[in-house]
Amino acid sequence: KAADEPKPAQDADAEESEKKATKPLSPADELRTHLKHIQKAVSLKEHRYITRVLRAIASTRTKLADGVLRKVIVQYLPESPSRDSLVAFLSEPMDEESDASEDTVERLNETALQQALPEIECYLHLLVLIFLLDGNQTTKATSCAGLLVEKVNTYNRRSLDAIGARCYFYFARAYEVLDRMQEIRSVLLGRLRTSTLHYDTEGQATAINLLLRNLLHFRLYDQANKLVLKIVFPSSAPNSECARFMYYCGVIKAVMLEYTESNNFLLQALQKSPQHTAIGFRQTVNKFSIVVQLLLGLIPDRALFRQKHLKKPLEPYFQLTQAVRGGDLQLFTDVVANFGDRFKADKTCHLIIRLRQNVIKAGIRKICLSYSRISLADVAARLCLGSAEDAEFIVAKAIRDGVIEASIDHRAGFMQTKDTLDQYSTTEPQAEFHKRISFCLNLHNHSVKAMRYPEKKEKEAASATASS
Amino acid sequence: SKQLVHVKSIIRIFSVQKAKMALDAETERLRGELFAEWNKDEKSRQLERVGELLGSLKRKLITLAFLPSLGSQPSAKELLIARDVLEVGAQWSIAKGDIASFERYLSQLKCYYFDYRTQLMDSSYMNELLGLNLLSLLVQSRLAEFHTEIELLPADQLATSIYFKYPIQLEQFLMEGCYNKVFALREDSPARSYSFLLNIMTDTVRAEIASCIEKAYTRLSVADAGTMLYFSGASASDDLHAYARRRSWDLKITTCSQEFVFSQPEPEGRYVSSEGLIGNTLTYAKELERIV
Repeated sequence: KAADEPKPAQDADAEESEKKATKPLSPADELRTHLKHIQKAVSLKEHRYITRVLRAIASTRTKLADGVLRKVIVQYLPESPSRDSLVAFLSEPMDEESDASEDTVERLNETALQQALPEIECYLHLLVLIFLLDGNQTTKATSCAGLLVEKVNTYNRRSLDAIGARCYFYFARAYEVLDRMQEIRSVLLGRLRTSTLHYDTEGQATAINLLLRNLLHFRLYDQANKLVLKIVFPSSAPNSECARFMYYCGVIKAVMLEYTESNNFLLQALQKSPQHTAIGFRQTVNKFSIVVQLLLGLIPDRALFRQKHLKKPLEPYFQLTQAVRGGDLQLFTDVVANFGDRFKADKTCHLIIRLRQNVIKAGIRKICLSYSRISLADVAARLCLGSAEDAEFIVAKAIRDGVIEASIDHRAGFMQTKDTLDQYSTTEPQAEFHKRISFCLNLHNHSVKAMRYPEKKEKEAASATASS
Repeated sequence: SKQLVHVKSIIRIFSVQKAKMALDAETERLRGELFAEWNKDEKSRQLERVGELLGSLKRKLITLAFLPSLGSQPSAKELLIARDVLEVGAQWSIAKGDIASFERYLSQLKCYYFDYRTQLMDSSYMNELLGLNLLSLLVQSRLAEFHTEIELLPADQLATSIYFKYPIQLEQFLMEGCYNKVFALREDSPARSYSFLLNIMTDTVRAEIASCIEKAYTRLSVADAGTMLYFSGASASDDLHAYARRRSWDLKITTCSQEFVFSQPEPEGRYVSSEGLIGNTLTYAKELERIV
């Protein structure tokens, strides 16, 4: 998520030294170049300039300051009540640095424009909102956000789509920080309707994701599921929104006990997310992915836990995997007790409680592999199950579910394993191969489709094949 | 004429309010009757009478602000009346044994419990009814809904309230397969209203145990089968035999003992489905042709 991306501190330092060395590109000048890009985009109807400016928000937001914003706003927006209300959000200016003469030249050029473009207005308003959020002035931010979405709603321009989507994202973020999320649900629903009618794919995708985030925050999984079933997520949405949507779908399916689908969604979310940034997002998705794989009976790869940014956050999940793999109920209860708070904070704790039966199944399977005949009392002792009677019922259920191949002798009180069937004489290997072949073919088809537009999508295709 | 319109609107407002107040008096009377009938002793209360009262009360409540809708601002008193009536309705459905009607009442009640939580004090029956809801979902094996319902419950009460711990523990035992613990827990239900659903669950669990027995045992003596299936009481042996006949178990009677014998079906998988293979190979050929 944009809010979780690590601030490029090194870039700011580099900029500082560059500023001192060469002709300094002050933050105000940077904003002006962005605004020029936006103007070019609108006049030439080229969407990619706007996307470039929006992508640069991550670095721009570190350099924002009251004075800079105030200067640029005063220069670019004509006198109007909306400009005054915008400026009112910024604090009083201190001694302004003396402008170079070129600034006055710029000002003369700009005032030649009768009226600022709505894109420019919204972009500057968005920057003010981001600045307030970063400065933790959340009450001001919410009122600023409210004005911004009203402004965005009055326009119906396709060139405003990308900026409008970002505005709604930060609007929802402002309310989330203040914990007032239930107020905006109807606003988001209205936005979804409008953007669907306007064929505004970015706005639609953003609105869907914000709604899902809202519903999942209040754990209304039923409503979220209904929302997912009813809408059609636009396929031409940007990758970041697709990744988020996959993640939310994965979480919903996991709660509703559809683990295979959930696993697919979460793996796709990981594939679509960027390689090196968005660390927070990848950490969260990995946590859920591990738990869902454990619930399916798969053991996640050990190399996953050794990756650089994932090592510390995934530490409790690593111990959890060890407990499930070893079928050790004692270790499992210990892990859950020790890390219970972290699991609750990650919102995975309800899923983890369901893992208890997986631990028992794994334990039974291990015993079945190592013993040809074992008394039920011993099974109970090994699995810490309590009594032989419990063990008998549990083993009977495991046999019926197909976890193990065995039979029980009730009177003598032991269980006897049958010889396992040779796997290669059944059709199982063929089914496994078929699954893997279709996966590879699907991946190939997706990569070919992503390569259709060379100038923009080639980078995404390269990252998709590199990550696969 | 403007003043006349003004006066007319005032009169209209007064008449609506007066009608509302009259409605309230009628509703109060009906409500009093309902509670009197419901709170009578179990033997003497008549479920049909309660049903009639509930029906007429629901009609009255619709004229008040029953469920949240745009522009309606219900007073706390109205909300309280509606909630009490719905609670009685839910409990009455369980007493009558009508699960569908119980679910309808509960879906209306949930709106009062969760959305209006800030406006009303928590009802004393809330936990019991929500726990009953969980149990009914569990008994019908609607596990996905069971888990989504758990998510909605207030987290602090989840660990402490016995009404919630009971169905959650039951679900855990059912999933693991400790059916003996399930039966032990059955004796221990937290409220009388739970017994109806627990009886249904006994049948489900018994079916589960029987299918486990069929797969896991090659032979089982009749006495042991009786204990495992939890047939008890005077007619235990007859129940057991009737049950065994229903599931078509083989009874082998020798001089020393009576046993059930279970035979395992032959493992299939010796055959390869040609249509499936042909279909798969054709898709591979098609995809490979595309890779040029």
